[in-house]
Amino acid sequence: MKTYKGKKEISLNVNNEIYKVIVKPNETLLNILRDKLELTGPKAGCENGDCGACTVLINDKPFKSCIALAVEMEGKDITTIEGLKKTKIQKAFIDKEGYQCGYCTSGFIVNAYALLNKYKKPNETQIKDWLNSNLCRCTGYEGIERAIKKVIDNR
Amino acid sequence: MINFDFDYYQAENAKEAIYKYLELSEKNEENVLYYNGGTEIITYARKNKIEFSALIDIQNILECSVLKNNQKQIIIGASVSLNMIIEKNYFPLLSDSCKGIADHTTRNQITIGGNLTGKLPYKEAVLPLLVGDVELKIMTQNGIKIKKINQLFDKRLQLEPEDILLQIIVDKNVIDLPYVQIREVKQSEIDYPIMHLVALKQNDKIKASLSSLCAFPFRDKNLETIINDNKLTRREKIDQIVNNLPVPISSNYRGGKDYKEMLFRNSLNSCLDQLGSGI
Repeated sequence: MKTYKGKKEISLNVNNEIYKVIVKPNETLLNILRDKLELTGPKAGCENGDCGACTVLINDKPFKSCIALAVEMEGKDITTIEGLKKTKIQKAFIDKEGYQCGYCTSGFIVNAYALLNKYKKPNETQIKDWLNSNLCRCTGYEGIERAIKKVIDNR
Repeated sequence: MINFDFDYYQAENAKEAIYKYLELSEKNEENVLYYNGGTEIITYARKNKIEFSALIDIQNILECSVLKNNQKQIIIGASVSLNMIIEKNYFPLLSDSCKGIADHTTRNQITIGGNLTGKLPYKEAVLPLLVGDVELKIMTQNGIKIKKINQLFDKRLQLEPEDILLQIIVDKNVIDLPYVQIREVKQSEIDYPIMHLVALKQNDKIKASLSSLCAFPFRDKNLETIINDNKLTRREKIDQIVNNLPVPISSNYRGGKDYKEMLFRNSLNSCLDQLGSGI
C-alpha cells in the first residue's frame, strides 16, 4: 500500500515532462501546478469544482484540478494549457474573440480541446454538455461557441 | 489546499483497505474516510465541513474499476465514473439519471460508489438501482457479501463504517424495460434537483423511486401499491400518493413544499401517461 504522510517527493508527468516535486496529501493538483511547477495557466476561480477555470487534462480527459489531490496523480499524464501549442482551437479563440477578461479562457480551451479530440464533429448537445462545465463571468459565451464551431466547420 | 493535515493511503486491494481502516480507526481513534473520486470530500474539507486524519483511496482496487456487460448481468465497479456509465450506456435508465449529476467535467471524477455513499442527500444514482432491484457486492471484515440494494438502503446505504462497496450487479432483465425519468431543477441545468422521479414498469407493475422531494431518497412499497391499484382513478392515485408519502415534502430555497408538491403531481401524471397505468 502506498503511503503518503507529511511531505513526500513524487513524480508528476505534466505536459510530457517529468517533474520531481515535494507535496503534502492536503495539497490539490491546482496548488502544485501553480505554486510549485509555476504553470499558472490553470486558474484558481471558485476552488470548489464549479467554475472550470482550473481545468486540465488527466489521461486526456478534462478534470477540475482544484478538486483533485496532487498525491493521486502519480503515474497519470497531466496536460495544462501550457502543454497545448498552436492548436486549432487556440487560434480559433483568437480569431473569433472567444475571450473577454481572459480568466476563464485556459479552462475553456482545455475542455474544448478534449471535446474536439473525442468527437470529430460534436453536435450541439455534446458541445453544450461539455462546455456547461465552465463559467465565463463576462458572459462571453457566443465568442467561445463561434471558436468551437470554426474548428468543427474546418474539419 | 485543504487547511488541515492528513495521511493518504492508496490501497491495491479491498482487504488491505479494510485492515488499514480498522487499524487506523481502532488503534488511534482516528477519523478515517474512504476516498473514491473525492469531489465531495475535497469541497467539504476546504469549507471545514468535515475533518479527517486519513484517507484510504480505493480507486485502484481492481474490482472497483470494472465495467462489464456480461450475458446476464452488468457489473459496475464502485470507482467507475459517471461519465463512463453514461458513455457505455449499458443501463439507459441509470445513464439518464447520471446525466443530471454535476457537470460533464466533474462527472469524469465522480464515481458511482462515491455518489451512493457520500454525505450529500440527493444520491441520484441510487434511484435506478432501487427500482432495478440491483445487488451490491460489499467487502466486509468477514469477507465478501452480496445483498439486494433494497435490503441495505434506508435513507442511505446501511454499511458498517469499514465496509467497502465493491460492485453493483444489474440483472439484464431490467435494462430494456420501459421507464420514466423526470428531473426538475430551479433554474440552471447544473444544480441539485428540486425533485427527481424515476419509474420503471416490470410485469405490468410500476416501480418508482424519488430523490430531493423529501429529506432523503427512497423507494416505497406502499406508494407502489397505490400507483398500481387499478381500482383507483388517476386523480385518486395521485392524491393518495401525495397523502401517503413516508416522510413530509421538504422545503428549501430551491423550492417550497407547495411548489414541490405541484411538480410531483405533474410528474406522476406524466409518469402514468408514459407507462400507461391508470385512467
